[in-house]
Amino acid sequence: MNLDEAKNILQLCRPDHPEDLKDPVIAEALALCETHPELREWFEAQQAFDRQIAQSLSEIKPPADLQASILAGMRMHEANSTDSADSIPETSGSLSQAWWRNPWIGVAALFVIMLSFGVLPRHSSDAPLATLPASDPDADAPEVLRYLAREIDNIKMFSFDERDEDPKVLQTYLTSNGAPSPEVIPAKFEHTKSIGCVMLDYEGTKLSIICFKGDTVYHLTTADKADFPMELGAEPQIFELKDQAFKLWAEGEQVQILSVHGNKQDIPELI
Amino acid sequence: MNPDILNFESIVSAYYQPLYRFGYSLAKSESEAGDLTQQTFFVFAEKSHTLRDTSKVKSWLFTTLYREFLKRRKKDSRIDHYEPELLENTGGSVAPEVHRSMDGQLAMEALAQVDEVYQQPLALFYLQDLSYKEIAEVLDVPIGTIMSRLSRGKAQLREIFQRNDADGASERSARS
Repeated sequence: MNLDEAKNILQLCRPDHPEDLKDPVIAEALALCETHPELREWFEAQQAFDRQIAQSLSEIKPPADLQASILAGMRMHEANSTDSADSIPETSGSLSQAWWRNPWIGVAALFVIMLSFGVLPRHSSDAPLATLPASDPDADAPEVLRYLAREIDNIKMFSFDERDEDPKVLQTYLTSNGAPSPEVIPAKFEHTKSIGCVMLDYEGTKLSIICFKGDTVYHLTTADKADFPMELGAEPQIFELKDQAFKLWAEGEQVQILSVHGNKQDIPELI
Repeated sequence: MNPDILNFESIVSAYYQPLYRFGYSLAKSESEAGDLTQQTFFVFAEKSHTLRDTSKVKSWLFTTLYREFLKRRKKDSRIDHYEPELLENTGGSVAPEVHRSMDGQLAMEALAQVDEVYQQPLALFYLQDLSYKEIAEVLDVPIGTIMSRLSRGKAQLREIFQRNDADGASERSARS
């Protein structure tokens, strides 16, 4: 082993980790330091440099609540995966170990975790209307569209319930979660990649939105016609609301709403 | 292995900080680092029963975080042309109240200037939790590759610090 090889090997040695010095390959390189003072000097300088960097990185502290957040997630997981055998009544002596197995605490923890992920608040139809201008030029627009306009404005990447480029995957996801899934994807979007989907609840009416990435972002909202809180005309209806345009129509037993940021000219011909 | 909560607590306590730091070195985002760390432990809770050798927990956690990061990057690269305001908000659930020292921040910034291929092995080396063999395992590259990447990466890092020191000295003399 020559000195250059030894230097390469000694780079693998962490400062203040004596177990590394016992590694046979490192030990062999280290032995050369005994007979080559310049190698020993280089190694000591390298270790000092490494120690300084390691010390600096160790000063980066995670958020104070990270550990608690991880453990809360674990408790939720445990509580929800407990099988029937675990529901045998505990003796009083085992209560301290068993509290996290209580499924209701698990449900509560789930709620807390969902809140912390920002999942719950945006599903509420009771959100304040502060985002709408005081003198709304579209005051006669259906309330459900005003609600949708707000929700669409608030969609962020992390707020999607599921993300996938294939709309079929999102349709399956919505169906499996009891949300309305479009039975028919408009032909215009058959070959358009999707981005993600969001499930909403508007005053008891389930709505789902699939976002498509075309030349701009399109939002296809679906609801069951029987539940939809407004009368539909025989022809598709178009509304402009704030900076969004909406087109509503009946598709079998469903209502579909296509929306885009822009005006009604920006809505593609679909039907 | 089917860890009970106490066992899990001790594992979280032992590894959440180095995992967070590794996540931060990869993502360069406080919120994403927190989210990656949480996700890693969630996967651990789900799949730890498949881990037969308990001495591998540490490597397993780092590997899982690294793979999760790569998975996200792959997914994000497919949507990086989407509306910018959506991309700006891909953070996780953890409030970004990170307490970083100036030294820690400078070290992390210097690491970020090193060629990307050297960044992961360097970060894992300096976090000091993994031996070089474990680093090779986590990054799934041969030990020889780790050795050369560490060697070249450290050389770059040293140059960056020297350059920064020189720049700082010039600024100080210009002010005086």
